Amino acid sequence: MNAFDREVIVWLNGLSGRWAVVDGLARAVASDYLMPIVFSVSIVALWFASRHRAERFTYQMAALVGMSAVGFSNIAVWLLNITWARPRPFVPLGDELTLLFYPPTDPSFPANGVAVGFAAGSAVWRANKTFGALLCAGAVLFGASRVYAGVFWPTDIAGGAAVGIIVTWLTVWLGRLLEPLPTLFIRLARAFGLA
Amino acid sequence: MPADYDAAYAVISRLYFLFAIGVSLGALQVAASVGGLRGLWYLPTAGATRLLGICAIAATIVLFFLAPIFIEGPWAAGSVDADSSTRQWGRASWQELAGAYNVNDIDGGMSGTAQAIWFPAGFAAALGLTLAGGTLLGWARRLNGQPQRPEDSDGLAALESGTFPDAVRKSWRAFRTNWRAEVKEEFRPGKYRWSIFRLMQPARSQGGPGGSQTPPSS
Repeated sequence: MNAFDREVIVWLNGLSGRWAVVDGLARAVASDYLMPIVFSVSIVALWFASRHRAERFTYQMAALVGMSAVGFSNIAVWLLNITWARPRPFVPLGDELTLLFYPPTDPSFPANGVAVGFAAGSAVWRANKTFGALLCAGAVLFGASRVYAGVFWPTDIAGGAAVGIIVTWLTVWLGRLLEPLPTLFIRLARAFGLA
Repeated sequence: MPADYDAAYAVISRLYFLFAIGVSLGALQVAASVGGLRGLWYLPTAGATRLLGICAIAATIVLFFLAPIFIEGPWAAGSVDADSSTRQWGRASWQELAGAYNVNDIDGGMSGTAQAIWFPAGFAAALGLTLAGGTLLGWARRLNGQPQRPEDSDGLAALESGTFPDAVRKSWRAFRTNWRAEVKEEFRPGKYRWSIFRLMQPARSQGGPGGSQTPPSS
């Protein structure tokens, strides 16, 4: 535990309990279901959201990278979890925090959902900068809500963002190494009217 | 009665599956309206289709988070607090609604792996509904299947002017005619600078300009 992490989480979590509406919104945003499904559905919707053939190929390639990067991010988070079992904030800080969320039993670093959000956002950003930036902003909000709820350190959020971006960058390179297979996959989907 | 793992997982995963279907249906309508894919639209104009999609997403999110008020699960009034291992079975109260779904996966909540199974299932169901509904409504609207540009005669582009069965028929015909030439073009030496397949090609055929990703030719 470093001083920065401690000060930020104690301050942010200390704001909880003042406004029931804010606490309720934080609980909903921090839930395991809302933001992850937003990230997932954004990637698959991108597949269909282009206006002409050249843009369609770019969007569909970004969607393929995004889907793969989300999967690889989970593997990267798991590898980091088994390497460094960082305790959750409520373990060392105890009564200094008010938990708004169930106490997770897995290691704290890096924030898994944030890694997934940034993997999705940075993959989408390659095709559509505005939409990608919105997804990354959603991932930051998701991370902030979990710090507010007392289950992540601020540096877990930064670590999750870094993991998501790095994994997406590596996935882009993996795609380049595997060409023309990704292109032929899209071509095959087009044969069934789906790309 | 305390909530047991299997019952909690069953109710949460079913609700999540419906959540995934609803959100995906709405997102597909929004995406189809942006992409001009008339063969997938549930309403006759792009603006109305987009509005329908946004409303479907918003309504699904609201219904998903309101469901614990009406459906029994591991969120009985008075038992919803930060520790999901002490949950009782029943309906949630309005005050505890926001935290009702915050159930650890060891207590019956959904893990990331479970969501990675249920989300694609929900999206596939939504895609099936979109293709079926768009086809029926496209027939009712008499989409003529005549593309405005010749290059938009197959794949998703064919949905700009026709229904899904039209698109599949045209796409499959184009694929059968062109696939050998397209595969040959994609494996052309030098097309992809960093491809591992380039390393497998004979040395004399390596090199040349290239390296950029280009869309497959039609």
